[in-house]
Amino acid sequence: MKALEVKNLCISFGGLRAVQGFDLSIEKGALYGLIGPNGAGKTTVFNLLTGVYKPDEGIVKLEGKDITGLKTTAINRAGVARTFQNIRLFKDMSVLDNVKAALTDIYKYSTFAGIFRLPSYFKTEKLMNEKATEILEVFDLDKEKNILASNLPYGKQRKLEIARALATNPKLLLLDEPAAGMNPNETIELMNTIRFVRDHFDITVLLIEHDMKLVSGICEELTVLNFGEVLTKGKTSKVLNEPAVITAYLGE
Amino acid sequence: MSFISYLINGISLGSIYAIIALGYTMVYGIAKMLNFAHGDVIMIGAFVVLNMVTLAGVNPIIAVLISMAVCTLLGMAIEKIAYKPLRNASSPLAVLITAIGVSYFLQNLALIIFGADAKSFPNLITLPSISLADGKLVITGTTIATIITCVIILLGLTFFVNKTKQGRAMKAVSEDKGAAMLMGINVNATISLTFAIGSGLAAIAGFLLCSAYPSLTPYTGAMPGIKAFTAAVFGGIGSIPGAMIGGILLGVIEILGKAYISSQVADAIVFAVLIIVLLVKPTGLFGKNIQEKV
Repeated sequence: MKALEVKNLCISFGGLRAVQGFDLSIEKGALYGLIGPNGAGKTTVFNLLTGVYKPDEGIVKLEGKDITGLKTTAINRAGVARTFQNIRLFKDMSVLDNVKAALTDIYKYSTFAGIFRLPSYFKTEKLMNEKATEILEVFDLDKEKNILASNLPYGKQRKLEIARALATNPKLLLLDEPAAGMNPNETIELMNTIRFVRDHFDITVLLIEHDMKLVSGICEELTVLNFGEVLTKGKTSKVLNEPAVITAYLGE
Repeated sequence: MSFISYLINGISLGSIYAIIALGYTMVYGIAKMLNFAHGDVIMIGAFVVLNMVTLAGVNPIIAVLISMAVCTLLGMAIEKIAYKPLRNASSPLAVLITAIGVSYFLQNLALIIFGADAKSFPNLITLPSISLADGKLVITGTTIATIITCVIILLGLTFFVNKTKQGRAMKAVSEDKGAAMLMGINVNATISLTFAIGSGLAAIAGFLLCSAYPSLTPYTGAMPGIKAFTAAVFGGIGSIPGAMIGGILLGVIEILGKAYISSQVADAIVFAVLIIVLLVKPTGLFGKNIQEKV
């Protein structure tokens, strides 16, 4: 079964065709890479997939279900979660609360129960704490759960973003340059984390990355985007050696 | 001794400003808009209590609860009808002007329903006065009730925002609406809840205000609304403790200004202090420095 199927996705901003005729097909449980030079439209694709932008044309199907044009929140609830190129954590909230905020819609109790501290409040908050702590443990962040997100070192902030996205219980996880700004050791650790997350949470991962070591290390397949259009796609080792791809990155 | 008496009166008036300021500051923090109709919700709340008690003969406590329910629904309706359609308007001025329009609408609606003449608000707070220092210092029951209510509201709200999932959603939306939506948080519901809570508190503020200053007209809410807005800016708009401290300081400055300088220029002194604070610390006492996005 396909985790994600995208057909003929298009969007223009004014006269600029940011993404044109974008197709993508990802098998369930795959680790898939979306690469391309700066300005190729990779993040725009992520914004289209998550409903930040509405596509002018095209269809997005998540596990066979049409999610095209839904609102951002609804797309998240359908099972798409993401991280951001420039980290967008809730900086003034604790590490634990960042993850718990992402659990907001999954665990239910009424506002009334919250204000008057009814038993359902305590019961549900306890479950939320346990779930959030469990996710943080995966990322080795549970010891820092009470400090403010903004006080975490950079590498851990990136990890917390992934943890927060996973808390929304996604089927498909989109990672926008997860290794940006990381040193080689952190990148290797991140590669292991991404693989572990895919297996442990049984999800599909689509990532944008410029770090070719990470891309060739973990992505099974790639799509290369250039000037808003698909340049080529296929097995990672094959794609990275294509002359057209090398030209797109390095110029003639 | 009279100084202490003025100080307590100032804290009491300031507590009312603080409760109103919480509504301004929460709505600003989460919906990033100034709800200038907030002061008029207070007036509606006070009218509901008045009519429930004098016309329907309802128990005062139940009247206040009904008034809270009415104002909560009113606040949510205002948000849904007047502000939500403009949330993505290209200019933030659109929603600001609308808020001023809603303010006039509520005032004129009250004029039609309740008439223009000032109604005298009954004294419904039956707590006894406390007499200290051989009767030189008398603290009225209304003053005590106001200050206690304010403390309870501050503690309750702080707990709610920090310890419940709805509160966390509010903080998340206030920090980064886009990221909150992408994490599955229902932003519309969160903004609606913020208006509900702010307006419910406005009903309490209306009741306390009219208990302390028992004259009620359709314009009663306007000036306290502006002062509470000032208090919210003073404390750093968007910050809950800021609204509280700002409100209380404003009340104290106003009463001491009236007592020792001149009752005519007391309001001018209040606003002069605001200007000085903003010149020295533009984000207000508890405001965060806004970082320029590069």
